[in-house]
Amino acid sequence: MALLEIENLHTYYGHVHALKGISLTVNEGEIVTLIGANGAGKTTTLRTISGLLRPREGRIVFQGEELNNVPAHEIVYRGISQAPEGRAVFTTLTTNENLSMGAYSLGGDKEAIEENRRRVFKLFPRLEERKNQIAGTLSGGEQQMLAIGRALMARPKLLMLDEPSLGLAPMLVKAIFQTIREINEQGVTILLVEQNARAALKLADKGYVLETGNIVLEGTAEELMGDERVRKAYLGER
Amino acid sequence: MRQRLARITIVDLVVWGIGLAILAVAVWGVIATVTARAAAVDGYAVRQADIAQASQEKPVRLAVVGALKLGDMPDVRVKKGVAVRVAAGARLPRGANVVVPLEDTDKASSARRGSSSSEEVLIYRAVPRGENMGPIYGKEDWISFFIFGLAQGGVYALIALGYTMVYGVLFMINFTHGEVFMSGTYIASYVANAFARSGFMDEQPIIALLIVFAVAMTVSTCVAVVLERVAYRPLRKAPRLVPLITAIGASFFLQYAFARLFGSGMKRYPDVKALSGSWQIGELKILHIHVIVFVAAVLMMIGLYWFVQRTKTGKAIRAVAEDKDVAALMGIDVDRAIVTTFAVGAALAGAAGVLFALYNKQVTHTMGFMPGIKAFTAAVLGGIGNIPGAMFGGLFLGIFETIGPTLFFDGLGVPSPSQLKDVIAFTMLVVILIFRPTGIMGEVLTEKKA
Amino acid sequence: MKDFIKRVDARWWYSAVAVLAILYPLIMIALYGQKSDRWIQVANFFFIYALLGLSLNIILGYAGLFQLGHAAFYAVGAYTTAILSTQFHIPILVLLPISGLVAMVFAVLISRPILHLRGDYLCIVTIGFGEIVRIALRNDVKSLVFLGKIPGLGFLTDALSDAVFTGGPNGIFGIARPGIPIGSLAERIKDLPILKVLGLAVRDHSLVLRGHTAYFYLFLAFVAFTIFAMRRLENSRLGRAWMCIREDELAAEAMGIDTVRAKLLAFAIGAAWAGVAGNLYASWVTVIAPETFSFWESCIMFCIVVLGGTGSIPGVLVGTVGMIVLPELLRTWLANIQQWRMLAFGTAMIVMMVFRPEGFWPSRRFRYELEAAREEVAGAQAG
Repeated sequence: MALLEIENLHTYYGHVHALKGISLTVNEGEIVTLIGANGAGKTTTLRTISGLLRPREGRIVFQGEELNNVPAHEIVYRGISQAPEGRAVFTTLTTNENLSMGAYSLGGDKEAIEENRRRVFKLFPRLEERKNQIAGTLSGGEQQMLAIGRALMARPKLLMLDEPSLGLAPMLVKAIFQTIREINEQGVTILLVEQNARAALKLADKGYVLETGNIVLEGTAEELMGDERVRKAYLGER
Repeated sequence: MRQRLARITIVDLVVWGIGLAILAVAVWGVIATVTARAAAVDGYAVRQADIAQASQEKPVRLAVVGALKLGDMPDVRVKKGVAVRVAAGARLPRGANVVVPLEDTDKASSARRGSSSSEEVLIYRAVPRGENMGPIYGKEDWISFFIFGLAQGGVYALIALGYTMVYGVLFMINFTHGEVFMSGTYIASYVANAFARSGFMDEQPIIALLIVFAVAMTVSTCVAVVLERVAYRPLRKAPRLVPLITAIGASFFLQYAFARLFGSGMKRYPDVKALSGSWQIGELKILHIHVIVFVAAVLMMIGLYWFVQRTKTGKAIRAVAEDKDVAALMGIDVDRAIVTTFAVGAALAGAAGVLFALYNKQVTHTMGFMPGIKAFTAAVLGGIGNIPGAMFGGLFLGIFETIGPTLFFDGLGVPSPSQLKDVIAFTMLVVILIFRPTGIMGEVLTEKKA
Repeated sequence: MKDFIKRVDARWWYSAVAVLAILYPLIMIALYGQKSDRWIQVANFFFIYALLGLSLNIILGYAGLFQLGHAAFYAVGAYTTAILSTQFHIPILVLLPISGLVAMVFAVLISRPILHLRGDYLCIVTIGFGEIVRIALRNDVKSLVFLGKIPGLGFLTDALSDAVFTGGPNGIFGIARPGIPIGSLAERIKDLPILKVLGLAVRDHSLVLRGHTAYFYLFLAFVAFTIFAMRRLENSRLGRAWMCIREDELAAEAMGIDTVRAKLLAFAIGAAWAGVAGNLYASWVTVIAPETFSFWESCIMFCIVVLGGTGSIPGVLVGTVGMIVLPELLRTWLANIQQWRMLAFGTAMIVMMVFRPEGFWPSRRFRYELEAAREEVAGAQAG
């Protein structure tokens, strides 16, 4: 069953036509990845889904409800969380406070918040060790963990991850992707935006290839891995 | 290196020269003020060498060249063979190193040698050097300056918090904050005057004052919220010049709206009997009102700090200050957090306005300008965007402003130095912005601007 | 409307405006007779504020430096004229360049250390300077008596404590009026009736400006010269450097523009012009006081530039009409309009910025910049 369905999405930055009619489907329980080069429109797609950008045309339907005109801060209440690009944690807040901000949408439900916090600490034991540290002083990998953990605090049905591997050492990338799989196994659907196509396709069930605001290819991860164009352009093979 | 040197122009040299000259004058003023002496008793200021031989039998005769009362600036100099009549507490003229009390002197018959115009005095005792002289400003004076400075500084700090918080979330100087401060105070003054007339203020001072505070804070908050909605929110994506202009426009609007609605004269603020009076500790007199204003300001600052650090809304504001988009992704309503910031800052300004009016005893439609710009100075001093910085900046400025003029200018002989307190505040503003625009405590700004 | 203006040859328009301006006092006299003075006076105020607006336009409009203390330069020019005229009896017209020069030196000295400040910080510092100047004028030189304590300068103590230099809160009155020595010609034209009509008088072999009409022509000439000079400046190398800095200071620096020098020149030239305006004003009203140069005066100048259209010469003139002439016109029909004036302007500023941030008659360049900035903001969100 389709959890998220996007039809013919057009988004603009001023006069710049950034998304030129994107359609994609994310089914419940899947890991779906969007791959593409810099400036292809991957981040724009996520920002449009989260309501930070308004589409000029098209429909975003989540669990049968249209999200086009829902303000950004209400999207999270519907069950979509995003770990933004560049590990945008609140650098002046502590790890714990960052996690609490992630659970902002849960309101005063202390029990649920603490349970979520335990769950996040189980996934990322490093965060528990650093729970009272100011987030700005965490390492890059820890900040990425915090960004993902913070997004999980809202108990999302759909978790959107924007370039979780960006700027991390290969070892860490592996660990983070392992955790993403674990999260998925706990029943969270994942929409993953990546430049690291190989790692993303290995993890994903399904993939879309974006080029200059258009989807040029789609298919299961195996199909894409086997596609010659993908192999040449994104997997670095000749 | 040579290139750097070459870029230093004559103008730079002149500017630095002027800066150093000001510093030198300030230091010199401090020394002169601290070392200046006043007469401890009524008598004559003389040179000790002249009266060393004086005794009951053989008095010394000196020419009197002038008289100084309390508060006079000495315009004469005590030379050899000359005395100056001084009142107790009067500043001593240069050259004098002892004051002979009146009882050890006698007016001489000036008929001698026919010089009828000149007055003379007989000194009957060789008073030791340095006798009967004291500092012009005693310890008590400085303490009472300091306490008044704390009260004033508390008010500045409360207003400064509004500037700093809005800057923190929007990177915008809310120019209208001074008028927000004025609006609440102005409306509340009507309530306060009505209470005072009906006698309620004297019967139930605490309840009455709480109502006055509530009115001021509510009005200020409403004004700020409307302002944000009408003049700032539509322009959030515009270049920085644009909201600055609307802010100036809104300042005009509010000032003249109040002038038109309520008249442009001064309005009296009632005396609150419960708050008048003072404690007397030895020589030191402390006005109740100054202490109460300071304590109230500190309590409100603690309240604000708790609100920002501990409550959910406070944390949401901090999250918005750091990154609006990510805050929205967390489910925080960014617009609401911004309005809340304006509202909280305005409520503090309204409360500060009542405190300000309690010791200033009057309100006008232009009363927002000076405290506004001074509170802004305080916010810059503490590093704009930095909440504890604004608190300390406000207190520092208040104290500096009450002590500074006397400390720097009195010894230099500048008449009525306290009139120059505004100049001191403005000079401080300019100097900080030139040499340390991030403020004394603020590193936050540079980090965020990146 | 604008297309129509464009279609007609620009020169024709200039000449029409010039002829109308020159004939204005005569038309007014013809229409209103005795009461014409008021309308000529209004025109003179228009000229003074147009000069101030144009001078501020260099700093705020061309170079994009938020200057909210322009009254300080105006004050320096006016007080230079007043002091040198009343104490040393130097002719006003000689003081014209001197006032400009003094204001310029003053501006260079105070603006050099603050040039590195960003937008609104610069704005606050200039407010501070403006207020310092006003308070200093009100306190006269008595506050400087400490200079007498410097060894060797003891004589200053007496001199300064008795001196009346700026006249304190009362200001300075009895400022001379401008005159041109005409020698023996004076005797011959002394009784010509035209002199009275033009507001001129002959005194000690000089032709002296007395009435509003005479000042009208002096101001008109000066405003015309200023507009001419500003147009040249706008299209000069320096003018282009300013626009570059306004748009993007970093890029300007990268292109090899000495931004510090350019910004300093903006302050220097703007201040010099304001100083000259101060001279003209002081010689016209012959009485000045510190409160003439308050913060609100700076605000009015700021509004003139911003409401009219930042960086545009016709914009400044339109802004001056709006801020100075319009209230005067409305006063004919509505009593007490003066008190509502600032209220209306406050509202106008907000409404204007929300719906038409480029001003009434913007310079084309500035409008593009605003649009570009809007798109940039939208683009920056791309992340």
